[in-house]
Amino acid sequence: MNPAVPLVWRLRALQASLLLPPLVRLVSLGRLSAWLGRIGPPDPGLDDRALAAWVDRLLYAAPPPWRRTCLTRGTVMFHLLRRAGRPVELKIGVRRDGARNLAAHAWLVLHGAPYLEAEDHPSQAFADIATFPERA
Amino acid sequence: MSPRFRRHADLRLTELAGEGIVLHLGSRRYFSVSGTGLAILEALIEPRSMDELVEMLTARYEVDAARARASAGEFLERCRAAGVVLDEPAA
Repeated sequence: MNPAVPLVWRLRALQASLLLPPLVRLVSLGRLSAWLGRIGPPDPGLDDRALAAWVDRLLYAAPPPWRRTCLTRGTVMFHLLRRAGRPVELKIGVRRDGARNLAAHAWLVLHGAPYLEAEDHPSQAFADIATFPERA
Repeated sequence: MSPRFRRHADLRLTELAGEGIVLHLGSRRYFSVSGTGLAILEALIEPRSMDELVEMLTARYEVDAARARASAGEFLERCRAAGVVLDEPAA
């Protein structure tokens, strides 16, 4: 357990990590992001990085369909961070890996930069294909 | 009145090195299409008839109407079979 994450946020993370990965498989991402993307009151006491680490641990330990992928992690964190008042976006990009393979990736963005991703996150290598919440 | 078509509302499109990439937000599947296919899918954000698509293609590319119609027809058939392009109900 990570003491930097308040109990209420650990419970919210657990709830989101249980519910959202299966929903990602069942509901269109456009519709799902509209439900999940509502901004809550800012919680300045929440350590976003500690929350992400908590969610990563939950999802890495889980079996499919809960197991951590960039999309399950991105969807769960998108919901939790927006609930905590952070105006994060969830981006999906695509790139060619060689002549035959097409790869897609999902990641969080805050104020135009990758957020809670590795420092060498290859966002520039991907062409944006969708950003949530979507603008009307 | 000629039939009209529109793309599925869950499609998102982008261009990558001259080819089109299509993401279906419902199925989370993605695939590539030609540049011409991308132009057709971009146009189908609104309902369009085959005549309108042919007009768009001949204006944008150096292609005659017969060839544009054949290419667009083949592409639309594949897209309709895959469920990414839908028949627009008559008004």
